[in-house]
Amino acid sequence: MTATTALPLAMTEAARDEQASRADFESFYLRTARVLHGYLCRLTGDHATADEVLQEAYIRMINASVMEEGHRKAYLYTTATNILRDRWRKQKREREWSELSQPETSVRQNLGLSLDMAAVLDRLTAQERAVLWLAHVEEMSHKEIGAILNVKEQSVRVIVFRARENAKKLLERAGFRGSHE
Amino acid sequence: MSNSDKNDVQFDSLIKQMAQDHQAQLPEPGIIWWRAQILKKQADKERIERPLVFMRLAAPTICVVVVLGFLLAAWKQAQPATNEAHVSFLMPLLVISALACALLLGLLAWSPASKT
Repeated sequence: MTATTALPLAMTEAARDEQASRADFESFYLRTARVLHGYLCRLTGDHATADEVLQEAYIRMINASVMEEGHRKAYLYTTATNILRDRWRKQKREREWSELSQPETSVRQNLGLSLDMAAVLDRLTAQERAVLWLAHVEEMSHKEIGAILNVKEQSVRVIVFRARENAKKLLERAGFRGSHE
Repeated sequence: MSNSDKNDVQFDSLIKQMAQDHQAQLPEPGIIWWRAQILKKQADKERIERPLVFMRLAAPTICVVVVLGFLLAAWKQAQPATNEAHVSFLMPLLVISALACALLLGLLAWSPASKT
């Protein structure tokens, strides 16, 4: 094979590889973006910030070295959470991560279950919201959550339990009685 | 199933329902892909140009250091010549040139192009 034919062939192969990577990314994005956006919205309480962090996290994932499907989601959540924490640190709002959000807003009652749930989560700390989302929506193990949030596995277990109990109490106060009625 | 377990299941379904109900105007994946490609190319360009930027600053600095070294080494031989009236006008010119060189070096170091 001469150099003149080898070069276009290599270019065609590179273009084909890029096309495949792009298609792979698009399908992964369509599977994961809405849920990740929900996670970021719950953490930030702000759609615009969630949009920005979401895009940045996906861009970093694309430009990171190729990884397995199973690791990509963990990488995405870790990156998004770290971007958010960096932003908060820059805004000197790091304490919000582990402190309670403003309690003056009362939980809205009977405006639809998901709305109630959103209002309940808004009254938890950002860390509690994150663990609840990762544990219940993404169904991640305590080990995976610990890796994403940079917290020990044992601590995750405690945080999940405490967050769930707090959320249940808030739901009950909002009028949701659960199964014991 | 105990009440506590039932509550856990209900809580789980509530939070999942909330996640499902989440509405978002997400950007097209193609846009994110192209943004990533552009940023990657920019980063590659910066990496490739780094030695050039370094050389652009290093070359004039080395030149100035060599010339100054040469002048200092040859200062004793040059001094009698500069004292003569017909070359004394060169001194202010040399000082002005040295200041201009320093200014240019400063500009080179400061310019945005050198930071890319």
